[in-house]
Amino acid sequence: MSSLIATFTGKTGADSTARVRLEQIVPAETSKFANVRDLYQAWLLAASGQPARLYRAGGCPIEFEGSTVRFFLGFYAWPSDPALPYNLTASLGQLGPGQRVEMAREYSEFVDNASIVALPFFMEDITATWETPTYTRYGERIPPPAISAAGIEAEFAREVFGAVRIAGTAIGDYHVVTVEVDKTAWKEEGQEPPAPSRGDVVIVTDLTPEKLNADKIANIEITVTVTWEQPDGTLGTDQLRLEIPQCVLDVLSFCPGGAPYYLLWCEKSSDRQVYYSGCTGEVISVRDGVNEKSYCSKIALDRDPGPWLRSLVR
Amino acid sequence: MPIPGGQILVAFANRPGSSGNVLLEQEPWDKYVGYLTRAGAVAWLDAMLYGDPEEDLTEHCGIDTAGNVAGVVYAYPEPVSLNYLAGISHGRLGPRRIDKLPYSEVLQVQLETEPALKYPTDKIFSAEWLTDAFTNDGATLPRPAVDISGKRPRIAGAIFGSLLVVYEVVRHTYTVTISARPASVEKAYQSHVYAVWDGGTRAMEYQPPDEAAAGGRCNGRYGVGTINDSPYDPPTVQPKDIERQWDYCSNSAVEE
Repeated sequence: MSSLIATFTGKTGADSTARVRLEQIVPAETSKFANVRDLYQAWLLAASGQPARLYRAGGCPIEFEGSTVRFFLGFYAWPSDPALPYNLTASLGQLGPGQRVEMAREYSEFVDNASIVALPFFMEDITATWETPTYTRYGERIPPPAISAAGIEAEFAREVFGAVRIAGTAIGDYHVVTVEVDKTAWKEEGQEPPAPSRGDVVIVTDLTPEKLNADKIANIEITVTVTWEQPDGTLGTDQLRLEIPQCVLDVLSFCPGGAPYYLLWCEKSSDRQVYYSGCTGEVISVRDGVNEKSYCSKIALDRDPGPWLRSLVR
Repeated sequence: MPIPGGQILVAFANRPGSSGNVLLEQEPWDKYVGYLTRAGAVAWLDAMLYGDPEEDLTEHCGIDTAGNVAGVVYAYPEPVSLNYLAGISHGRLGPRRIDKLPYSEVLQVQLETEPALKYPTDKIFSAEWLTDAFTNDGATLPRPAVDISGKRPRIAGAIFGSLLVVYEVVRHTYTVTISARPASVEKAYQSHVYAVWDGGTRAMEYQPPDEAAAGGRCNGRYGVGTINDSPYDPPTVQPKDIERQWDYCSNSAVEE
């Protein structure tokens, strides 16, 4: 089976045109979800009677100041030439001044029958090392061709099939979009928030639908646009829609009490429950008295919490 | 964009007279690898409340206890007797295991008379129409005969219809073990699987599970006797030692 391939014998695969590539700094995909470590931290906090807001999954770019929720979205701009001027605008929020960064980056590139590959950033001090034997497109083994890597391209002495590891110092700019939203936490009228106290920790859930969604903020979209001048005088442009981390969306949308019901500790003798705002972590109320219908009470009457927990709360 | 000075060449991807192909395929990760499922959370809470402190409280994230990503890749050579070399750019490939498996595939035939199969084969066991045969304008036709003596089913007529084909797949299985590059600043588990044969090449990037792609911090033990390696330091309550006098015979506390 043969297929027809059209190739350039000049520089294959790379584009030397001026450009600016935007790259958002996002939490790992799995950081959106709880893991055992989160459970463990929540467990320790609950057992110690600390407010829920003291535990946020690592790296959630958000902070509270009164009723203001402020979150931060960071991204890199990688110009094809560090001297290339460009302009940035954000559709929402405050775009801070850029900060020049020179950071170590590293990745593997499988050169699939090409003589040149584009680098994702302008790099200095590049090292490029073959990770596999090298072949022609017909499967013939050949000596590893010399690699010439600088700036935004890696070029090989001949067309080649093989994997190369590229590392170096990427030069670009770091920017942050800061977004502030006013999000007044709902409090039950007449209730003074009590001080944190030892006791069962329960995130409040028994709210009416109106209260549950009273401060819900959703559908926030932020797009960053970059423009630069091409060598031929035309304007180049690119856009990046910033992904808002799930931990931020949770805070914005599940307020004041939309978080799931967590029962972290049940003790037969306990008669105190501490209610938290799932939005700000504030203590909303402390209620005394055992609710015999609660899941906690039911299992606490029958089950032993175990020696470790008993020792934890003595 | 054309590059000044470049010239266009027209070339054959394979040399005249040689042929072949190798389809590479990664065995997909289980849907919940790297994620704490409801069952996993309940099991963890159960172990903390009532279980043995030595019970396994780890989560399953696709990285073994030695810190390696362990998975499987398949290769389907065409022709099935093709002599090829399999390799990996970082990590280890296990020895080749060859299986001959029956494979059922439903082809949505749309006027093709020799529809392609997903995997290469030398042996088609059966072909059965699941639907009536239709013309381009929806009229029903007698179901055309299907010749299964070749490497693809041959349909005696251009029609629309669904055809169930059962054929033999020759699958080469390789285990993949990838360790993290110790000095890497990122993409520590990135690796490519490739195949080379007389006449062609093929490569595929191996996709590690999300947690490994993100840096591979998982499979820690979080429970009794574990170390908190959270990036910040939340307040915790430390268990206190309590001394009690215990009566050995009655197995009860001695009142002070």
